[in-house]
Amino acid sequence: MRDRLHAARTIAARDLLGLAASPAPYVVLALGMLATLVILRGHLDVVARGQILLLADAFTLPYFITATIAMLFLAISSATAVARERDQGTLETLFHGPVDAPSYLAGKELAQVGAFAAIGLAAALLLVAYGGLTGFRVTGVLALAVLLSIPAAGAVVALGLFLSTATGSVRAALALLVAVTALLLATRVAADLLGGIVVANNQSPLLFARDLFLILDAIAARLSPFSLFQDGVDAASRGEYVGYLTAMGVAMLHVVALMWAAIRLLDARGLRG
Amino acid sequence: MDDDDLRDVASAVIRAESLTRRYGVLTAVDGLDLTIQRGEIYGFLGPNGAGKTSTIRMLLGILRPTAGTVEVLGGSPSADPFRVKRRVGVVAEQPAFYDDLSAWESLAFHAALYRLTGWDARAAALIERLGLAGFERLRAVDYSRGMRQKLALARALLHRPELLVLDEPVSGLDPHGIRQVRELLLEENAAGVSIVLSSHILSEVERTAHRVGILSAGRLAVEGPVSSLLRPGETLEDVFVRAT
Repeated sequence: MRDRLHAARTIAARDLLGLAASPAPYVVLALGMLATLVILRGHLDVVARGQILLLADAFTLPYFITATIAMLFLAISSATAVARERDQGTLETLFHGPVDAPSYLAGKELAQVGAFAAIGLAAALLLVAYGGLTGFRVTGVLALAVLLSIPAAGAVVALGLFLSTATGSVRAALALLVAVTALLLATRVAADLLGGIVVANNQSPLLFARDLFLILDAIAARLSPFSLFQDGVDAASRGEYVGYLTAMGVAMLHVVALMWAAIRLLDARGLRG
Repeated sequence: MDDDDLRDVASAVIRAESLTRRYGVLTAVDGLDLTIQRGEIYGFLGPNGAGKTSTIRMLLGILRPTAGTVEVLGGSPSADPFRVKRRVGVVAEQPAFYDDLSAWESLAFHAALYRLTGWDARAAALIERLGLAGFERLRAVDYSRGMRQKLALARALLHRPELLVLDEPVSGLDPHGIRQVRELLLEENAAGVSIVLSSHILSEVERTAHRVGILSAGRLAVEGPVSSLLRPGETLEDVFVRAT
């Protein structure tokens, strides 16, 4: 176990340094802050016009958007991580040394979650600073959102790594990620569309299709880390801490289950594409 | 098992029994029995597609055998990868390096993975020895093929392995480079490092290997000390052609 932890830490440190030297995390943070400025500008305009602004929390939505952008970046980054190393041959080279599938994938997970935690922390600090500048109150819900975003990001990364181990090339990994995202989106859109249709005839096949897509949508909502994050933040905003803790627990379960599956898949598929 | 067999088992760095690997209907390695003794340089030869790389990958624990067993340095490289692989150095047929790391950083990463302390003196010596001094701050992926081979050898030797597994270590090298690598390997062997050398440059194998095994269609067609395989006036190339 000590050897495995050491290998995971070393791989994570290398990947983290690589991520820190790339422009992507800074672009993600900048995009998040840009979205924040647009939202805050809207709030400030309302205040400037002397209108009533009712807000439970001015900063949870900006953080949610920043974290979601960061998670989208992580989804792409992790989905290509293993496939890229397969392409380059560095995956097999690593396994010539004291590295096995659990330590390798744990290292990848740690690095990506570490990068997310840094982005999330920087975003939270900036939001607190914006709170000081604008006078909008920063509430504890922001801290809860930050806390929940880490296991949610972990689940996104684990999903990306799982998809990455399933494919032999970067292109295939990206295609699979797009296909999974499209499937989830299509399910949501179909459930929304069919849910709004009034069906008078009890024998109509539309009824069956509607029920099917509503069930699929409910399952997708449980499986999607993005939905989990949204549900958890909504629950925290409403003060429903059981719902919040459930979302956190399910996100952690996702991490464990997807990492286990990714390890098995990497062992089964081997190190070459 | 007689006394000689027992001595073989005790001093073997690699023991493979009935090693088999199938890819669908294709049998790449077919019930291979292989024993490589501590301290020897073993030339592992064979034509393209004979199963050399599959065998090497199974010996390194990165390809699961369809059947058979592998023991490297007294342990299983797949069941106990940390204990076994820490003591093995590998140069793959096509050495790979991270594209964002310099040659020196690649060695530093390797040292961190193997928990080496005071590795930089050894790294500097190997870099100097292999004629890469002055180029260590360049990205490894920008190296020429021959320089990458040398860097891969420096990386494989950095943690002072007991066993070196080399797949085409001199391909892409000029005659100076081939000599540098040969001399370094002979020195390491004299210091007790066992070496498995797979190469198509048979003259090099003939000059360095104590024993050779020639693989054909996944089976050992010929095996023995180089001197005993050569008939008068023959080269290893003649033996290779005859056996395959």
